[in-house]
Amino acid sequence: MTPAIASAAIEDFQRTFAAIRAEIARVVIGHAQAIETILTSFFAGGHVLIEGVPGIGKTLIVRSLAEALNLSFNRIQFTVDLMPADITGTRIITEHPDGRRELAFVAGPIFAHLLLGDEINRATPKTQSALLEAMAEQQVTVAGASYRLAAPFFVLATLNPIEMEGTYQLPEAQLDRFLFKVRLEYPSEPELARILAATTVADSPTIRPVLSADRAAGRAEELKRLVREVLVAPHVERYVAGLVRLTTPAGARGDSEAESDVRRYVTYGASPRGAQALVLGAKVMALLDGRPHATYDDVDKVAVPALRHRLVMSFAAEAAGVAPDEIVERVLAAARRLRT
Amino acid sequence: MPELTPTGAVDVVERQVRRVRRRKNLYELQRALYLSIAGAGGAAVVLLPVALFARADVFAVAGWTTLVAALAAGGRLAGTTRRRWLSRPDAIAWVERAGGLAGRVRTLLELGAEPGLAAGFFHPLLVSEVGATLPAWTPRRLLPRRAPRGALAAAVAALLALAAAVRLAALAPPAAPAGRGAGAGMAEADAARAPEATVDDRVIAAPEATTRGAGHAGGRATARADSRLTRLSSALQENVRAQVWGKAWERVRDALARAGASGLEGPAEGEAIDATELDAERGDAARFARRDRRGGADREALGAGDGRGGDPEDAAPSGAPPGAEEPRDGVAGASGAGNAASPGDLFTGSSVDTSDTDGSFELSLAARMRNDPAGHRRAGGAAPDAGPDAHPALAADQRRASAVHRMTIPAAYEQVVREVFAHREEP
Repeated sequence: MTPAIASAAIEDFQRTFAAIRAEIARVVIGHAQAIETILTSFFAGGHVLIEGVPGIGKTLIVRSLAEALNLSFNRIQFTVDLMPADITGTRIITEHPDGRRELAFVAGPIFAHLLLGDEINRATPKTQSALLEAMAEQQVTVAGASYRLAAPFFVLATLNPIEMEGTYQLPEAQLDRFLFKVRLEYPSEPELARILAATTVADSPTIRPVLSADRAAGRAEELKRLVREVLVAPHVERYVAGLVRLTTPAGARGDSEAESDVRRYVTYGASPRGAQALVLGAKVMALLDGRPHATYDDVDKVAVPALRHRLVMSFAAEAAGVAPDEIVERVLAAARRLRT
Repeated sequence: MPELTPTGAVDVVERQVRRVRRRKNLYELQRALYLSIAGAGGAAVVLLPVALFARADVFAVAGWTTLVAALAAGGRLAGTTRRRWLSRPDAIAWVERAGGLAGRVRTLLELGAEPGLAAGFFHPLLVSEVGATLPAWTPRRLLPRRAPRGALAAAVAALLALAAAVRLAALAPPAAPAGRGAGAGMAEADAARAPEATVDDRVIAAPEATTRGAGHAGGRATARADSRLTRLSSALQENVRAQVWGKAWERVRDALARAGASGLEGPAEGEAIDATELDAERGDAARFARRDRRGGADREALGAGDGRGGDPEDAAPSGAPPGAEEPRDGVAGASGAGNAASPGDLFTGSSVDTSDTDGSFELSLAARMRNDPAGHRRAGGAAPDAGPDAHPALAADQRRASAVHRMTIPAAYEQVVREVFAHREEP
């Protein structure tokens, strides 16, 4: 591999990423940072949990992403009576023309490249866990038979932080399977004005696919492999390991304020999946910056979305109103001493 | 610059990092050295006039204060140098920062150390990028100057100022060593040089007087209280004076010592003095001493002539060689030993004519030394009554003044003894 080819691959990645981002921005006004994080997660091969109040464009973002990537897209509205088979699919009796009957598998909505699980916390834990295998292993098992999901497989689940009545908190095991958690904020006043202007006219803007339909999945997988090729030096890996350890009460043994906060407010810290998320996210950031190697700063850029949903906060944190984001920010500041 | 190849890239980059590190560390070493020189030179410029012209205690305070400040500054400088000193990882990080390399060099070196990691898709690109940046972080580019000019200029300026100060100080006349009496500092310096030495051939009388001399109690108490630090600073001050003023200072010091031993008043504190004046005074004292010797010789001749001149005990053997040990109570012997034989002029000439008429004798020492338990003053009159529980005879005997002629003293106490036993007019 020559440097020129590698350099061209980086430029191709940057172009594609920028094109997708620009296409989504034509439809989704605002949320630039959230869109970048979602795209980063997509190319890093992870899933995204989106938290935001209703009506701020969660579904629109995911749909726009699917259209820009020219990949198949399904949406599941999670409700309390949703069953696992409603997601994964089920075996039903089918009758052949010759009168012979057999059980045939009918794929559920999970069989898509992009899956939007809307208000995932409204389903029962049993149904939520139906996603676990699909997210982790990109396959589903129905009646003892495993069915492979087509790559790329990208799950975006939304959480409604209000109306918590009748919801089921996602278990930590499932939360841990989301690479990033993105928080969508209310649009600013100028953004709101632009939303009104763009969505209340006869001709709404539409997404033009960035990838061609026949090669979209392949191209997406190529770009995801390219991300994995980014070089990560041992000193960056050590930094990530130290950073993740600092989020755990057992690892935060120092005297700094951040570590004291971790001991006080965090019950369980980030898992090794959190460290993987940091490295993968840093790799995407490195490519976006045109570098073949990841740095400390790349790690820092993705630390908050990669770690915020992996911290199990204590009652003291809830009582004091301390959010996981604050803890991650403080840990990041304390972790600068790990930069050797 | 040759293009880097993935296989040899690590060696090339490693070498350049090493060169950068060497240059930077050398730079920091020079900086520390020059700043140390500048600091030491500046302190010397400040201390030199203090050492030459100020009292010993002032110099001690100034000297130790300067030393403490110098130690603090040195510690701070050492800390700064240590922080700026580049270890290998530090050198890489410094190169990264200075060259704006965004971790490329470190990644390449770390991955190059593990061959499995260096076979990645992006490794050739990383090598190529680092190779392109090599000219941007050469040692000369990152550190254009070999030596820290500011620190070097400060060191040179301090040395020049010190040289000028020494030159000017050498031109100035030596000043009297002020403080606790003339020569106190010198005595301390002597004590510091040879604190345990004794001079066997120097003998003086009345050691009890040296321990009870009320008039000199201040000096003695101070001498006791003097710490080793003070003696050290005094020795340093003396050394500085000797170095700067050379023989002129030695003459002054000797003259002062002689004047002090003769009971002459020293010059005012810090006053510039002329050694020849003191030598003249010393000459007066010597004349007294010669006269004293002559008196002894006359008596000796008298004793030898008629065989009964004076107290028989005072008569010395006519054939006694000069400098030989004289009879303990002989006038001539005492004067001879006191005036001529002592190498350090410990027994300077007495200003008192020893040709007494009452038949008693007097040592021809500079001072009358008596074993007088009652005090420094000469005992006179009748002995006081003894207490009811004492032996009257013994008490009277103890109170009787009796001369003690010789005693070996340590050289360290010479100056003190000189002062205590110096001849003075009775108030």
